Amino acid sequence: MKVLFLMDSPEYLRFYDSAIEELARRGHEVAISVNNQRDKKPVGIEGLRSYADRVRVLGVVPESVGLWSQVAYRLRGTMDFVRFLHPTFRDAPALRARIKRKVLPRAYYWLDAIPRLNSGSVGRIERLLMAAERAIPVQTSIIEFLQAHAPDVLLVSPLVAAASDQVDWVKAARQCGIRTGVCIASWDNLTNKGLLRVEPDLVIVWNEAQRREAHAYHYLPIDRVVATGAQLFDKWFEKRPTRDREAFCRASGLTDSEPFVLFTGSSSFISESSAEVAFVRRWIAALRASRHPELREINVLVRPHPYNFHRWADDPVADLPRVTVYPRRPYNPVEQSSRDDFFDSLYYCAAVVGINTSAMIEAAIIGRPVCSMLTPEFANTQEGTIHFHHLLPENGGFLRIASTVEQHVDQLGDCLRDPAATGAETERFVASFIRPHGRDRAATPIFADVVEQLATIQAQPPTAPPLAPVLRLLTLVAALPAFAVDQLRPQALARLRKRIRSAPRRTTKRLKKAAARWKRLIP
Amino acid sequence: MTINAIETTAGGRRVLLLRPDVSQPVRCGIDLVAAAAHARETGGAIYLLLDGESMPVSVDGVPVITPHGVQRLWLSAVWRTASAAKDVRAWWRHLETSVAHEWRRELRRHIGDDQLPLELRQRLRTLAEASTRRGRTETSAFPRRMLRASSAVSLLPDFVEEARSQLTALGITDGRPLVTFESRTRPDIAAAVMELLVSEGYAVARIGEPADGVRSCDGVVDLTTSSRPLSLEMFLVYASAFIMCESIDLQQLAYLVNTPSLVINARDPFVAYPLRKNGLFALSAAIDLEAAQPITIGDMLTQPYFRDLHKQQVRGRRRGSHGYRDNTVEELTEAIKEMRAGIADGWASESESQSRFRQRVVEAGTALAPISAHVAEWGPDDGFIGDGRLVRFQADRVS
Repeated sequence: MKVLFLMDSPEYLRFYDSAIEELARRGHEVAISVNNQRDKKPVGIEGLRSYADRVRVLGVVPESVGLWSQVAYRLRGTMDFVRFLHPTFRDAPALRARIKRKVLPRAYYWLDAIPRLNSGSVGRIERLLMAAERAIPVQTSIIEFLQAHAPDVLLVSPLVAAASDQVDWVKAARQCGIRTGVCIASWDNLTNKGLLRVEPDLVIVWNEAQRREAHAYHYLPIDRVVATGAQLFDKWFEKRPTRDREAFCRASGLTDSEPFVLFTGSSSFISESSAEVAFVRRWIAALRASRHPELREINVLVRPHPYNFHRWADDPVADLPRVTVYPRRPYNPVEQSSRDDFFDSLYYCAAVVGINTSAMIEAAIIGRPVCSMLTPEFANTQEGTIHFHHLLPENGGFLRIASTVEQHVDQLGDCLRDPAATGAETERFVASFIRPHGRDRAATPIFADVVEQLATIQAQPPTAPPLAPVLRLLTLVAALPAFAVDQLRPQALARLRKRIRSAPRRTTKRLKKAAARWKRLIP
Repeated sequence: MTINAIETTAGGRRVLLLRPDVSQPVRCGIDLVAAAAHARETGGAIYLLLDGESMPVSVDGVPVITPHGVQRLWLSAVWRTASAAKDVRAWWRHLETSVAHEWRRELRRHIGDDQLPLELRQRLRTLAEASTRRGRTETSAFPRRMLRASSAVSLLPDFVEEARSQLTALGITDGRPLVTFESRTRPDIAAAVMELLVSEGYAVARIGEPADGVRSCDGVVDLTTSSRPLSLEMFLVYASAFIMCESIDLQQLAYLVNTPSLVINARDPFVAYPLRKNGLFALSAAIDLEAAQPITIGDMLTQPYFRDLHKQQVRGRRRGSHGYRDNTVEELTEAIKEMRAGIADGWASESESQSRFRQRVVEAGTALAPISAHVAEWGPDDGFIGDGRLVRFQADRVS
């Protein structure tokens, strides 16, 4: 079987390295390629070369160009925004604002004035926009590329990136009669990002919850979505620490090797660096003032998110006793030493505290209790995101969540006294969310099995929507305002807006002046 | 003349007229240095037509005059006329180039027509080649030879005093040697490099774009977030033991004040090649995006590489055939070591591989200049590319 695995960027390789190796190990001819390469990212395309002895490395694939590519970008941006009008996302203003900022054409900013629509309306609009997407012609360069390499299966990940041009690849593969599988890379991808926009032959997700999300929010038939488990975490089930506890505590700068609580930072979207620092200081103050003696003296290790380091670099907690920031300077998260540090931090800690981050899931796999608290400053990125709800106990999650700092301190104290107390919940979560086929069954071979099965099914023929040429023309017409507005420079618009806003004030001032002149003239 | 100056006569002697645009201090600084070199050769003077702010510099051995009254009016008129003539020439050249380009395309269409007699097709080919030569845009080459010698430009004492006190207010004192660091590299790399510089006993002034997570304490002063006058930036470079930068503007500013420079993450071996002995540069790793593997430094001196670079930088294509990876911490550590050694031994120890690389750049530049406007502009100036060098570990790799 010939498999072409197309990832959005080289960073996605870390999600699928084990799966790619497994497919190659089974004797399949695997080729890997990416849509984009960004020069300043820690993972570069040259990283793909480390797989060159097992798989074919095709580098960066041809990009979508031309008028229709521009039209498609704007159409996809609109589709991505419209999905956030769904009632499920009514409490997710941050997600909606982000997608608007990223990809919604400015000519369609008025859509943001709609508070929300009912799920039926959103579904109907999205289906109409999906039909328009199908009416857009497929890029010839992509078809030529696929015909030249002639894979049996095209795997694409993640496809749900905002206004992703990977859609062109799924459409082109269907036109070439190639089976298509979409691999959803992470737990938040189906609810935090854009729409799938096209129907591939198969969508591979981690678990049942994501299957339901794919069906409810991406309008896919449920039988086309398969849960294989989270193959990227397979290594975590076997991994051992790289050094002993004393050596780790010494390296991280902890004053001694007594138990410590680990605070894991979140990305800048979830918690802006300054707000996170303020939160951590407040949290530590609450620990020190708590009625639990073990918390008053406990060591705290703060691990900032690699891409949200800004305020942490100045060590803003240096004045607090028994608190250490580690790593102390920005780090490359894909380097083996950084990964080892991360694992060791989780392995040796007594409990983990965080706002909303994947590190909480990694802590659960290792079996550490994880606590969090709801705060007004992060309301939009905690409860305001759908994926956070998967961590809550009422949804089968493992998180000890508190609504006040006092409650949180009590929960943390309980976890330290009895680390096994959350064990059952954590086990249940791991068994359902990370390894739905059984805790002892690695997800990677299941993923490979599913890809093999995909190669045996009949590829879907391309389905042109009814009246495709008319729809194509309408799509082009609808994109024209977006083109026009995008050409207007924001500075010019801002000036115009300012003038319009100040028009009443300026008119009043002129009238007053005129009145004063008349008064002087008429005694 | 290949600098932005006009040669004329005033008071019975040959003078160079310069109208510095203070919003572009680097550009006008380079103009001033080149004009000073030229004036010294010809025994002339420099006339500065200043619109407002004065330049805080003086030029040793060359009279710099700011004309007033009728003389200023007259010289301004000369400047305007010459500038207008220059603009018209450039417009005409552009028009001529685009017509020649279309003509060449038309001819090429017929050259490939099998039904035409061979003789005619050969004739058409000759015509197309002639049109290519005619259609080449005139480029004003970067005056490498003029800028070769150490700059005779010095900062005025009053300005130095004022700038020094401003820097002290920003937290930069005379205690430790200063390094000005400007980079758009990844925060983890920038942080590691600055930590290294501090551990070597330097104070670091970070300028350029603000970066996430880069320390602003322990010997590092972050000037990325505060706005400062450009003249202060000039002083910062002047007061530094050496600068580490990514932008070519800053490298040229270092020429102006004779500060050693280390250019990092360079993508273009011609543009970044240092003019002076006290200059070093390190190339980024260029990656062939289709093959997903790095190309050699030798490949970065070929026409396809420059064609691709031109497409990205000038035509603004979203993506070329090459991607780039920044210099790693290990590479930058090596480069800093070499820079320190160079400063200590007076730049005496150039390796054979570095000399060979210079020769190679000159040869490649000479061969490419007739077919690439970019190389004609930035490449060797009459066989001279610069007295600086590529960092040794990269030069060793080339040979």
